[in-house]
Amino acid sequence: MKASTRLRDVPFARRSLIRGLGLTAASLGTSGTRRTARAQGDSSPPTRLILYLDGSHFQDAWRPIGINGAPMPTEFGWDFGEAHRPLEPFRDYALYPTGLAMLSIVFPGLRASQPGGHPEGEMGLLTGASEVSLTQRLHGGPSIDQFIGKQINKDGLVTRFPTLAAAVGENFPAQSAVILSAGRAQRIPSIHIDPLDFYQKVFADYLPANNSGSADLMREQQLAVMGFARDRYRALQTRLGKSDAERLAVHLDLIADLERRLKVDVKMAGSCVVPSKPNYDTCVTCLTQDRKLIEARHVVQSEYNVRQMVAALACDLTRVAVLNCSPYEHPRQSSLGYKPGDFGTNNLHEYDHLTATRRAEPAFRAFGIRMNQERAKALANFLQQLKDVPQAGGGNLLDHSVVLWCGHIGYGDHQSWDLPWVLFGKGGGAIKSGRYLNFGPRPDIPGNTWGWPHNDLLITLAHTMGVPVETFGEPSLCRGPLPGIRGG
Amino acid sequence: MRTCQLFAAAIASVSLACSGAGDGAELNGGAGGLGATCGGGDVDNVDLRRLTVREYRNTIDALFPGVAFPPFELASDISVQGFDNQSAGQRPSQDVVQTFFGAAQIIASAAIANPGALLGECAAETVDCRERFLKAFAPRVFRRPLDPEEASSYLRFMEAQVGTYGALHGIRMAIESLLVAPEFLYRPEPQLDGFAMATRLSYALWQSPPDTELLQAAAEGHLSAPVGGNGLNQQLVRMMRDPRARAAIADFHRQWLQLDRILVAQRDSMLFPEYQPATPRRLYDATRAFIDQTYWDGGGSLDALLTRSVVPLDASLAVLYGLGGVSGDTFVPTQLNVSERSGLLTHAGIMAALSGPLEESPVHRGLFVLEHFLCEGLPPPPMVVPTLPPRISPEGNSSTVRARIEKSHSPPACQSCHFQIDPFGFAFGHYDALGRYRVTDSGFPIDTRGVVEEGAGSVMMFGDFRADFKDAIDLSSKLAKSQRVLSCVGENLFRFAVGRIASDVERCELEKLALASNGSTQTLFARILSSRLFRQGQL
Repeated sequence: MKASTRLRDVPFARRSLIRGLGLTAASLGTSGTRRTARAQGDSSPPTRLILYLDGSHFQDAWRPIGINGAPMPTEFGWDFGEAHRPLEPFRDYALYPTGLAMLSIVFPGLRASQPGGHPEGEMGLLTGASEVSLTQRLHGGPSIDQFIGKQINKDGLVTRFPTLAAAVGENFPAQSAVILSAGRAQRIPSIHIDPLDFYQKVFADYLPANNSGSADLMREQQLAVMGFARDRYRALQTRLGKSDAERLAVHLDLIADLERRLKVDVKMAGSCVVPSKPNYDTCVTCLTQDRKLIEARHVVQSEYNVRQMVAALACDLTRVAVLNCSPYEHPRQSSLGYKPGDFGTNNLHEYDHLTATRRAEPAFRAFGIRMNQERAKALANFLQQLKDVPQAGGGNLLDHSVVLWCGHIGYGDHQSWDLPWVLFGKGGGAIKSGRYLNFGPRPDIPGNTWGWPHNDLLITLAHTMGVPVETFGEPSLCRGPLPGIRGG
Repeated sequence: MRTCQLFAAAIASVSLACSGAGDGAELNGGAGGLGATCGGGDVDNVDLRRLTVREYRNTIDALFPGVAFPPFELASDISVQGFDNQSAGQRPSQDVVQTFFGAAQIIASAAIANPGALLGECAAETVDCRERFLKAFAPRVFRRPLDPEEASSYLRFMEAQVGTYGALHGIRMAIESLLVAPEFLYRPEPQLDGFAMATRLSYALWQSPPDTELLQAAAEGHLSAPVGGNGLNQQLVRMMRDPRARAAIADFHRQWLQLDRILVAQRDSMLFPEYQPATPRRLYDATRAFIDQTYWDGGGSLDALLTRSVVPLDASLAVLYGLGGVSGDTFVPTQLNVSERSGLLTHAGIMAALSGPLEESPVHRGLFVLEHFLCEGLPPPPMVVPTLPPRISPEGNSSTVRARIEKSHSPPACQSCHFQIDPFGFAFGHYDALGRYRVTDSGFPIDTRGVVEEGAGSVMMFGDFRADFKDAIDLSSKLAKSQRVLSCVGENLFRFAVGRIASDVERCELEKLALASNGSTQTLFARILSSRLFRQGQL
């Protein structure tokens, strides 16, 4: 087994993406009459939303600090906390909305003595829903990425993929994807773990725009099969009971969605660079006891997946992306100096739990901050890649994106208030970045001493993406976009 | 041969129990003469089921024997409470639908690449040839005859494509359309006739589509109600003899007992240098082989599963078990020390799977017994999960894992669950994180006694199982004799066969079927497949 770290991309500007639906090669073609990804006449680049999910952080080390001797940070007078210092180059892009809490998972009536919950925290992070239960596989509603992806494509597909999700340093699909939800009790959306799988689904089928007619022919035939299949699903639906017919209706909708995607012909922008096929022959699910090999695999997987996600955003294949960092297996835990047994823990998951009680111990804290800084470095690397992509009309991809860096726990006891949620990017001018804002408990909620419901942050993201909802998740906790975030 | 006789006997006992009593006899105790009823309410409806990845691939292989396909991808199944074939986990998603279309395209293209094998002697360019092909092929895809509307619809579609794209493309597209049809990907039962019953049976017992003989039996009405008749039982006996049943039963055990955990168990290489990269696979294979032999050569005896002390071992595993006399890497049946081991739960593989990287986990071991053998549902872990103190304290004092757990779980909040989890786990104290037998833990004697107490001094009962045992061997022996455990196996078999969790009424009936199964999980499975629980909704 070998893991190559060589990432080589091939510029493929001005090519046309004709497929990417996981169908066989050359099945689809291009057509000058098909709708392009962006509306005609709209010259401003679209805004992208990226959810960058991560583990817990040391609260007293990640919060912004005051400058010039000031004890507390102010809106503009702040600096990065020790744990987030590697993000210093992105100060102008950062916005710290502190004092938020995941009140939805203990709603109604703030029923627990304190907000918190395992595993409801994971399921409530991006849904803002109050009705969540892992054991019943019940998300209270869609996660914000799925919701926005669906909304911006509801009048016809504008991107080939409404959303894309990929894992970073992770090899447990069910565990990582539990944060995402297509709807209240719906299947968890898929998340790309294997870079090769990601590549095959998203990039493998680029063909030159003037490719021969055979690809067009194949697409035509594919659409004929799909159209006929829909007729057959409808015919059977009428013969089944209600619940079975409903399940077929979902299938039917997904076929129609597939047809719409097949008809979308995305014209590549000048900054679109199609990544080369990952040279990655180390199966992410292969079994090994060699910790160094496991970590090497995670590192390569992470680099490929991040690189491919940036390319997918640059090529406007999607406008809503999720990168999910492993909460349990830090890709570089050995190089951080951790080994099982340290701090009396078997793994970093147990370490995370212990932050609840042992965070003041110097050696324990020093390791934790080092780990947080590694996570911040990884994020900085991703932000830099976004910044390196120029956009037509000026600015770069980070200027036209909003990145939410978030996790579902504060300290390791699944504390769900004062979470390390940070925004990066200018959202195409919609976000006033470079600031620190402290929200704290919203006073209109009786008994609330924990923080401002994070539902309003999710609403803020929706508005930034052009989806002006009034509520998201548990409606009684929603007031609207967080004040002061947007503007400009 | 012994297998077949045993299974035939199991079927025969079902027939006897049902003969003359018809359907209601089982519900009212006829199956075991139990007398008691299961109360009001009907059994639940069957939810629409979709082919699992394994079933899909088996079905494609059956439809196109001898055809070599390029690799094709399918969206992985979602496991719901341990099983990957549950209707609750089969709500369609984007990647499910997309990969079905992609797979159909690859399969149909590969199939049409050799028209002679697909169409026989006739020429694709003739209407007669194409019609003949479709008439023969489509019912195999649908696992039943097509009604006239369906048949003409597919024929029209094929001919339209032939007109536009040519004969071979038209046939390929017809195949594609059949492979994405709801009647193929799902198992709809607008009416539960003999064909639907054949499909239920074949996927429950083979994870594959019905073969020609089973479809023939369906066409001749042998599988229709009243069930318990000879036609169904003959098919059950025949199907059980087939290698496909062996594979499906192995898959049931893999899922029920979460055997994959053996494969992914990781150990700290400094603490356990003996745990080589090949060790998990060898442990896994040994336990799989043990289960296979116990089920098929031992008549599915629960007692044998939980107490048999002959295990297939190779030289590397024999060392782990502290035994000599085994050489090479071929598994040979090996008698274990009966004072150290007894049955599946004391297998090194199971013990290793239920351990952490550094040491064994009594909590995981206890949960495993409670959830998988006693069908006890427990709430999820709390928000705050304290980490167990290390074996050697910062002051250099060592202690047993039991002592540390008892101390760590002493708060009342922990005790609300751990009072019943931990005693089961402590019973396995003699097995370390590799599943090796040991006499002491950190230099201290090992206390394996387990008692689950509810209230002052009264021992907790789980059905007929009294939670008081000396050690893992005693625990295994008592579990093996428990009706509660056999019923629990029945619940898992039911979920595997029906694709959902049993309702209260169904659980009650499963208890009765278990009681009448003479301690055999093989008989129990046969009883479930020929019971009303499996046939519900049949015309």
